Amino acid sequence: MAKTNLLETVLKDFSNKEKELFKEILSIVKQSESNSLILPDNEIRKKIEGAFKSEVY
Amino acid sequence: MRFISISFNNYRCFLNGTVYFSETANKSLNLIIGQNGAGKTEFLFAFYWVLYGFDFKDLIMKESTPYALNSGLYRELEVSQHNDERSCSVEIKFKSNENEFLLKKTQVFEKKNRKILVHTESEMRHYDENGAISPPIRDINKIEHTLFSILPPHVANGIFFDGERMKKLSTIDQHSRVVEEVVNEITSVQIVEKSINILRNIQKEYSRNMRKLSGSAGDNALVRYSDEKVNAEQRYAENLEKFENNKRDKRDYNSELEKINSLLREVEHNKKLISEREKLEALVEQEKDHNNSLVNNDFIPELRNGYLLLLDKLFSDVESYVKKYDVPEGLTVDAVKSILNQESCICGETLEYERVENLKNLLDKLPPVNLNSQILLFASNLKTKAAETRKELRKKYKEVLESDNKINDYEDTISDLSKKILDGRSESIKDLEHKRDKATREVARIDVEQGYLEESINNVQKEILLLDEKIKNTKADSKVLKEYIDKLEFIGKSILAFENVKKYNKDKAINIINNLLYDNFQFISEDAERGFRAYVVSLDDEFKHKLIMYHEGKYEKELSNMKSSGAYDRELDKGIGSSLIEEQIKIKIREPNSTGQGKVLALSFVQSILDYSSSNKNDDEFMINKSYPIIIDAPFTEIFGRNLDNLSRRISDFSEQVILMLSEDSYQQVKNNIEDFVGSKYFLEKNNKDVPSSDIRKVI
Repeated sequence: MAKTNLLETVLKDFSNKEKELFKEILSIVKQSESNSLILPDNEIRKKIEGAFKSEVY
Repeated sequence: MRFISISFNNYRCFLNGTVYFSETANKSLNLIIGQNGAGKTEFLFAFYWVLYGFDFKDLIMKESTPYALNSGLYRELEVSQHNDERSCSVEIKFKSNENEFLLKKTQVFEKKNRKILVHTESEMRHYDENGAISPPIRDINKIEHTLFSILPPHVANGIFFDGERMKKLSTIDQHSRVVEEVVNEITSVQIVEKSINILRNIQKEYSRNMRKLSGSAGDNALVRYSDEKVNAEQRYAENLEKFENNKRDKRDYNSELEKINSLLREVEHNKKLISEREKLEALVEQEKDHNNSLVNNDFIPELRNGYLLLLDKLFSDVESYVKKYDVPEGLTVDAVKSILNQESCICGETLEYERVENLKNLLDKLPPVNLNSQILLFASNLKTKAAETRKELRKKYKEVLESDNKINDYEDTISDLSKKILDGRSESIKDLEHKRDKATREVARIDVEQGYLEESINNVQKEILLLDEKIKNTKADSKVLKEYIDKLEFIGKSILAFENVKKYNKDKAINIINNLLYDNFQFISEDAERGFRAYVVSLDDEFKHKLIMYHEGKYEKELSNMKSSGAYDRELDKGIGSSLIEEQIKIKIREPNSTGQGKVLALSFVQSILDYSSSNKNDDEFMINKSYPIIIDAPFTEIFGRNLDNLSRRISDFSEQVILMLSEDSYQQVKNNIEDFVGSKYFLEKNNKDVPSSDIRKVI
């Protein structure tokens, strides 16, 4: 699995907007790893809620 | 992450004092120098104690002071009054991503009813960007949440070392999971796992909510599908966990099997050694009997005459004295009387009046018999006997000595044999065979179960996708329900995507770590010049994540033999990948390492994981950069020659912050190589105060 195709490969069934949300979730977890003051559970929940509530999808 | 300072109050041998660590660029080294017993290792343990807790009872040889409080203060408390108390604390200041944190751990020791009770408190604060300090957090769960994400305990095990901890890195013992745990933490596996866990929790919550909503909306189909999906997801998670646990168990059983087989081979060899030892033990018994007989029947009786040797000089003195003052030999009373009865002397001369008178006077003085002659005769006989005794004693002593030596030789050989057969003796063949059969059965059971689990995981995965499809096609009237359906579909797909990422990322990270390890080992170890290489196993289930050393020449030869004999192709035909085959060759020919080599190997690995962790991975969505400090107690002991030179030149590059505890001798050995990179230097000095303690003295 070539590095450049990793995201494309694992997210092949995702729409572009879903891909963006997935990346945002990943980004929150990554930030929480380097900044212990971030609570990722709440942030991710908010992100998902916001994305679906605003009828982006 | 880097430490700013550590402060002590009544903690172990440090009554007070603060060490500030260097923050100057290119001055990464922080030295804590002290003689044996000055508290260098205590300094290392202080980090463990304040960050993760530390049970001092685990310290070998220090069980007499198994508490954080200074031992002198503890003893004061032991003899003090009811309600008296003493306390100790360590405060650590550190920085992570521009956030400054302060962590303080305090233990209060209180005397109550002749007992000493201990209360532990921790508090954490952080400073915001304006330098304002937050209120203290005292909830230990919250503290751990923050702390463990900054410096996970598993990572600490890979970067905070004393000799014992370092050994755990280079051992291939199945119980030592240090390398695996460090690799897991450092390779961002935890990011993916964390993402999956968070999404699973949200998924559960949404599923419950959706079921409730669809129940109240009277949507029976959706209720049923939701129930089925929750159930399927539960099974999926359970099966996946079981599958992973089985993989680990299989690795452990295989590792155990290898040990048992090796022990059994040893036992076979031991049989010969044991028989040899039994023969020798019989010989020892025989020789001991002979020795006893020699000592009791020959030597000791002869030794009873040994007084003669001691009296030798006395006899000589008596002899010379008697000779000096003695009357001529044979001059007895009878002899004088006989002379007086004759007209002339035996020499023919006439006995004149004066001579007769002298002889008569002599008669009064002479003893009735000539005792001197008797004494002389006795002394002469004893001297002869003393000479014989000396000769006999020498002879007997030589025999006893020869017998003693023989016994010692036998016993030495027995002891050597015992050392060789010690491991094999601890368990009987029957026990080992029983364990081997059990482990073999377990491996077979796991193999079968894994097959079922794999199939089941695939089926449940399909079932979930199908249920997702069904739920999606349900004509949910409610807008909220529709939203839940969409959110759950997205979460389900995301979890699957993360699962796919997990393995890829870790394999890739280990490949990079292995490349770094190759370079770092080349630089540090002189063994590298002789063709030795360091390697972290990444594919083989049994040895996965173990750190090994192998010889490249042997590896090339073995690989070439496998290829020419067709064994390589046969393995490929079995479906084993070329990378795994090649890795298994490295495992097969792995080299044992000495303490020094193990240390060099471990340090090369440590540098590699630190290099990897801090390297720029911004082009990779699933990786993060983290830099950690490294703390090593006695890094240079048991390392000599070029290894020592290489390591001391390299050590300042290990991390942006390197904290080393060194003895004065060790420091002098490497001083020229490290001095330019020293940002802070402290001396620990034992003092002679009433309370046993060490002072911390800043030099740089």
